[in-house]
Amino acid sequence: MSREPTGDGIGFDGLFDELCTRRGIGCALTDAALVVQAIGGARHVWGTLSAGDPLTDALPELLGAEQAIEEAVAGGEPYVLPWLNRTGPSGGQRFYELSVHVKSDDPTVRVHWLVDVTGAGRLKSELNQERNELSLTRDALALRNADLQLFLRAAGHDLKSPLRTLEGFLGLIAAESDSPLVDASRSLAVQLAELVEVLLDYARLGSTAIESQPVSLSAAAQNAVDRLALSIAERGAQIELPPSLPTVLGDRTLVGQVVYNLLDNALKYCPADRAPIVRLSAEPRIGRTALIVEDNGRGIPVESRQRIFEPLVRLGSAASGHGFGLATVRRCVELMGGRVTVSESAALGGARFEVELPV
Amino acid sequence: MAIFKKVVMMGSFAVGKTSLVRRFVEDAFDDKYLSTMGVKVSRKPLTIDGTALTLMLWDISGREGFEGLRPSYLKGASGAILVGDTTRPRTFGTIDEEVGSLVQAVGAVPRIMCANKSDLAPAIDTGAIVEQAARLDARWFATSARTGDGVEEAFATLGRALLAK
Repeated sequence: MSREPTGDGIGFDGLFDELCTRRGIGCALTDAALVVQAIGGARHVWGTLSAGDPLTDALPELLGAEQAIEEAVAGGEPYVLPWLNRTGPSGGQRFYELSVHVKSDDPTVRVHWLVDVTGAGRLKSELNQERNELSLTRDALALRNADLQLFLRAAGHDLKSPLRTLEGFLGLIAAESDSPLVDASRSLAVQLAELVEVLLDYARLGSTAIESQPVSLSAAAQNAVDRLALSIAERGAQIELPPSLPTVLGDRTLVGQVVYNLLDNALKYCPADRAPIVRLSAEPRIGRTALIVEDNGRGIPVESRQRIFEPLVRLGSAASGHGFGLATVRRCVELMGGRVTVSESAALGGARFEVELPV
Repeated sequence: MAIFKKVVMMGSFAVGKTSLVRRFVEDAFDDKYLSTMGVKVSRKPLTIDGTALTLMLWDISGREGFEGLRPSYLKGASGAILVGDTTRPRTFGTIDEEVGSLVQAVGAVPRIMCANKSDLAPAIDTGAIVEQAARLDARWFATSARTGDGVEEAFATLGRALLAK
């Protein structure tokens, strides 16, 4: 059958009309002024339209489009309107694609094809809805995050300022008093100031954009060792670094923070009865590299291996620390699209941390 | 003879284009967000200074994901309503791009700008809206599809501009 039906009176022949209806297609022939000559299929769209009526009675989408149609067809192109969104006879959404062509054997006649694309339209509509809702949620989170950052800046200033003053006053009192209570109070004020600082640092993580770039794990490890030189010397610790470690894709500052915190953690939580041994190595993973930090400490009990990455969690009370070290490690790693896990070190008997980062 | 004018609703997704049309045409509002897929055309007959005018309101899906289809929808437009959401400042950035597409498709047709959701706490300075509207040669209106504030006035102003052109 030709794609171009012949119009006759108010309808096409029965077979063409039936075919259009079965295929969810409507067809209308009009003159250049969009006056109907023949219609077929899509009766729910055409309604009571008949010969001599303006097609725009059924397709208001064409109102004012006469010039645009003529420009398109004069250039040899069809005039196309995709995804016409209509309310169907039963109230549900229906979607159509409309295209207007010139009839090849009669240039005064316009052929309007209306194809029902409701199935695809509904799927696309659902995807569109989900994408937009996701985007709205992201926008709302960004606004809340901005509010939170403002709050943190204000709270940080309001908390730190009186603490510094308090510490200063206690220092003055300590100069004139031998009471151990004054020293203890001063020490507590210092601890509180440190805790506020750590808390604010943790809260600020992720508030600025991550700059992903190649980062050398060797350089990050060496830097952490240098920064911890005093603790390493005091504990007589042995840090085992391989000749070279691979490069990962991440934020230089965050990678440095991760390596530093893991080393610091291993030193802090190693029992006093032994010299700490900390071994760094790397293993390839699919699309990633795993940095492995093992130690000879007490290890992490199986039941605590998830909890230790939460803020303010410390296992045992012997070591100093604020309980943000491993929480910071996890936050940094996740911000860079990686993950961190802990298990037992078969080689050293303590904990084995694996930090997977993109390469 | 009846005058029909095609008016396109333009702006980012979820700024309230559909809600503005619904408020203007049906005097109704629904809080639930349902994204518009493709284009939905509504008619609104008006009488402006004694002249009958029917606005054919083309409610077009937000720009995101439909950029390629926009020229098809913009052809034949006589005017535009540019919509931004005052609770999401970056939706006003999209309006500049929308005006670019509009001018490319149909030239400098009359347009107005709606700073919508005026019933909610704004996250954008009025000064920025005033400056943008002046730059885009568009009168602007604080509108709320929820309460109806500013809606009639905005559409009527555009209708008047369309008749004057």
